[in-house]
Amino acid sequence: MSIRKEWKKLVYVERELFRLAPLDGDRNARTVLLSREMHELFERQMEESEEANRRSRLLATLQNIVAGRRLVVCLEPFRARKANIGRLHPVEDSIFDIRCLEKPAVRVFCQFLERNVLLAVTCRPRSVSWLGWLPLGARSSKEWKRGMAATKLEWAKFFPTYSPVGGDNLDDYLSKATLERTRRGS
Amino acid sequence: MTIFQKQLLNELAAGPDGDPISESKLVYLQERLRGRFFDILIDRFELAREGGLTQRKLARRIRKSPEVVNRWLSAPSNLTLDSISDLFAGIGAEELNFSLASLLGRTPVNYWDLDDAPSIEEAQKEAHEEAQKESQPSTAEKNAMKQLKQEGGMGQPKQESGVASIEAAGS
Repeated sequence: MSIRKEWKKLVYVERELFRLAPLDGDRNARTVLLSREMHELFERQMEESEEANRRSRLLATLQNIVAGRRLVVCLEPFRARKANIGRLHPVEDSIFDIRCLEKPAVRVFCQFLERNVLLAVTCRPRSVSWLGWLPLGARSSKEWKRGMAATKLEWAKFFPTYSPVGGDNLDDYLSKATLERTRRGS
Repeated sequence: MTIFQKQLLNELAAGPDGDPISESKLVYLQERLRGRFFDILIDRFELAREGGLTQRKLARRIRKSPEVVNRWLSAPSNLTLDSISDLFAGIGAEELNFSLASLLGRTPVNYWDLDDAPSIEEAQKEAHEEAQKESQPSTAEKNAMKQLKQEGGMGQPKQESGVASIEAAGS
């Protein structure tokens, strides 16, 4: 069975993963699959608060991906500055974070199932606690490790016989994406 | 449609005399607009880059430092109306054309582009059929089972174990 058939089965038959719909009327150019944890985050009722605002920004960020908007990607761990998506260390794990940059910032741990198809597993606040999650903090913190471990665990649970998309060719991951330019670049 | 989206549309549909639109919905729309602006801007810049434009050249044209232009082209949150105006002028001697589109009464578009199914219902049907197919032996497997039966010597318990193993191999 192909990985596409696997994830379709998980979405439409087994209902273990959830496909994020764009706002009505928007294109559906890419696919963001949500883990149950992420799905429940977006479905739960929340009182109006800064925490709810952060969730709104996160939802809009993910829907921008679905709608096929231009994305800036950094494939070099620890070098992402303003990229929408950055690859995490170690690169062999093929784990990325979707970067919701408006402060207070949030990161979503994800992996690519195939071109333009991402599995968003869990999210963490970058530097200010959010909904009971501790901030990620420094690059070698326990929270980063927990996020990475949760992502690997979810992959092993649903796609044990497949590998996530890897390598250094941006085109293998996404359409309409550019690599983050450094100050030295043009 | 998510609960969030339903609430958003209900709040918007309430009109000028309705309750104030919640802050979280306004924040959502702000983030969405930033993404849309940035999308158009970077698309124009990428197109111009193919024609030889660089950030350095653009910076010189609009009297800004390369660092400033780099920052503007790096993230939607760095943009202001003034910087947008400068960038479009410098990239392609253009200005934005404005048009407004209602957020209400839209229909979902192209839900299932990956395999051209026209709707989510079709996509669900396809996935169900696929899953059903995967859990049943293929024609070749059925033929193999039939042949085994005809060759004889297979008691009921063996037949059962044969079916089980073929099903397992097919899943």
